[in-house]
Amino acid sequence: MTDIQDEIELMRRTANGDPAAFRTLADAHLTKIMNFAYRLLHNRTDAEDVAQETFLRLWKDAARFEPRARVTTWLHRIAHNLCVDRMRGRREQPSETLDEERVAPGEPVDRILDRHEVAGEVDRALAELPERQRAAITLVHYQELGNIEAAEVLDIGVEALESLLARGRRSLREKLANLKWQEVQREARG
Amino acid sequence: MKHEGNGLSDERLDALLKAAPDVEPSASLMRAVAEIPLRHPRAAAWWPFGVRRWVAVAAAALAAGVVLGVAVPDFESDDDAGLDALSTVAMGGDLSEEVAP
Repeated sequence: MTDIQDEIELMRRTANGDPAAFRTLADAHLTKIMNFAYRLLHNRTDAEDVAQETFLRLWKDAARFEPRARVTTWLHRIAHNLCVDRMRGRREQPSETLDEERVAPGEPVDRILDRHEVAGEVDRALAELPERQRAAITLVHYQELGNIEAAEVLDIGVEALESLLARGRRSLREKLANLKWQEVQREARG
Repeated sequence: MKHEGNGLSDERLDALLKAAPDVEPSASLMRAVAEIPLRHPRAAAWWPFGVRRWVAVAAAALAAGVVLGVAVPDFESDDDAGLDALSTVAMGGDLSEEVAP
């Protein structure tokens, strides 16, 4: 039996009210969904709320799952819709990372940033992207979904997704062009 | 795909993106998710995608067809009694004599 078939069987058991099957699915997907929500919302409390609500929907609506999609795609789609609802509700309150001391956009950095600082800058650059570009970049780069699955999550065509990715990456290049990235490269190799 | 237009290649951008660490779910979130089945008990839902379900649905439809086919009388008739009765209801009177030659 393949992983996909295993997950479909777990979904069938969850739909039939099996808590053990639900917990197996939650163990497999919670961290991914939490990170997806965090990268879209840039707020840990909101991200945890979205993750919890996503798994509550999984428990209640497992019978609606259609096996033509992977479980991870289905969960990302639920989480994305919940994140969009929250973003519309608050219209981009200041994020946690944006509150920290930061390098001004476009300002040359005359020192090599440590990994934590670089991560903060990348986080901020992502947070400044339009919502759909941020979601596309997050789904493909961090959640490791293929373009077809990412497009399905966002309910758009693959060409539209590729356009979002291209625009998002162009914006990120502009925002991050001045970072000294040698530390990152060394650590990535190491 | 390489992009050197503004000094930051795809390779560099990918390395920077990888620098952003994952966040771990808190213990309270993991506990809350694990407790969802306890906090929201529910009856088993109907799962429409199993083969056995489809076989059961097809068998039930077949059985219903057989029962209806046996139980419901055949309305086809060679005489005009049924049509006369219908015309009586529709026209409020018996027209069979009026239209007879």
